[in-house]
Amino acid sequence: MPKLFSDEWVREYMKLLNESKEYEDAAKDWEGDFLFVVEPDENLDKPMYIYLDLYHGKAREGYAVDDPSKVKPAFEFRGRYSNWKKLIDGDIDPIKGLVTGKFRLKGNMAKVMRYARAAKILVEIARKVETEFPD
Amino acid sequence: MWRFLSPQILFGADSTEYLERFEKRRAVIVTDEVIKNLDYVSDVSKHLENSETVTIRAREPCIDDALELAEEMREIEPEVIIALGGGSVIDVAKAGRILMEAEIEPEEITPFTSLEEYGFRGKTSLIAIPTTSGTGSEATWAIVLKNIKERRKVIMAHERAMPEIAIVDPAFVYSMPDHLVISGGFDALSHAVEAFLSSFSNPFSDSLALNSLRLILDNFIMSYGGDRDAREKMHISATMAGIAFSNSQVGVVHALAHAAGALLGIPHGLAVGAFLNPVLEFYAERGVERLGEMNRNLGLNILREIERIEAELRLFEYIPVSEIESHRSEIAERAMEDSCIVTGPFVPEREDLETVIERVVRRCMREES
Repeated sequence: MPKLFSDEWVREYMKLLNESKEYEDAAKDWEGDFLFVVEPDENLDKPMYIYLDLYHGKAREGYAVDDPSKVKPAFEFRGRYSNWKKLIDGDIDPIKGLVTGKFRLKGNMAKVMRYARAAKILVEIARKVETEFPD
Repeated sequence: MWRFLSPQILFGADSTEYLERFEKRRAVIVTDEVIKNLDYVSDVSKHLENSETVTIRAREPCIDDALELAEEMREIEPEVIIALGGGSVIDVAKAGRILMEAEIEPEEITPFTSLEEYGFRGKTSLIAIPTTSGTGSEATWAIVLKNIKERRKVIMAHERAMPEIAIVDPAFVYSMPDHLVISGGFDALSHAVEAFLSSFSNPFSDSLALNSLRLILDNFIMSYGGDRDAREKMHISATMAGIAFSNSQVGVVHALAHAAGALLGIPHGLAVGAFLNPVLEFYAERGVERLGEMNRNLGLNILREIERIEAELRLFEYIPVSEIESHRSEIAERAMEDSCIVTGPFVPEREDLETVIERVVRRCMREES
């Protein structure tokens, strides 16, 4: 079982994303890369990062990142570890998580609002990755 | 975690008098040409010592209207903005209040945006006085403005967009014309129904959704007939339904109505009226449990009740059915891009939406024949 935000986890996530017709349809015109950030809290001692390049309904590149200053993504989505865990376990809705400040998003918000369905599918697919959590 | 937001609400006869608390403040009354000609502005300004009026165009509200208003208000520097009008005026004022302070593209006003980072400080209070009963805009954090160039409706939302005060005074709706009673009534009805069915529904929004639904079902027809008490109840229930959906969400009915409205210029209330029952039929076939829960709570069949109101008010006579039919594919495609598509009880496929649109067309044609 891949560890959360490891290279192996990203590869599995990309595989599932690229197999999804639903995601391909919902994000067919999307162009934009992401840095996902897991912020440390009582159950995680240092941050974790992954980079994901999403383009026209496919994930064309993705990897775990050691130094976030080396990537310049169009979007950044970040939240504390405990909230990420709840998101992946299906206990937090991503939109509610953003509205209530459990997660923060940087980038072109107007663009994200037009791809709400794609964003929802992105999270649903992340939930399908069998994940080993650090704690 | 979720949260419940509402403005302070003044309602009932003479509630506009509450403005006297602001009589010494520098106020701007934002209204449109139609309301200005109805002399409603003096009903508001008489409570204020220091007010001026900004009149916007009476039309489907556009992003440009909000930008122009923001520019005017930057010069006036009001302490309080009073939006007097239907949902269009109130939405333009909500956006204008933010844009006069924040250096931000209007479409970037989203629930996830930190307006403070763009310079917004919330220096000016916003009071909304609706002159129609339907949009609920006086009590919500949503703003819907049209992007004319792209012929699409832009859904903006932010907690700071919500007016601080809503004055729900029935004096402004007693002489409302029939077509606004119908379109507003269907808008309020759809807000209450979709708020209850939304995946974001919660005990607070449910309570308001169900109670506003009861009031709407009991009073819509009588309000159309000019009954003053019914009209007052519709006015209050439209605000209740607005708070309900603002704290839950709307869904597929609104996604389709936004798309059809922007493409074909159908008034919003009529568009939601056209799509409401076909979407509910689709939900019923898919076994959406909350629909049954709604019926059990109300002690009736909501589909049959809406059909009764549609028939009584001859809704289908107002729907441009051939245009909807010829734009079926485009409406479905645009609705799939609407942010409301993800907040219903489930996310439909594009083909599902085409089926719903086909049903709208069939129902309209059946009524016509």
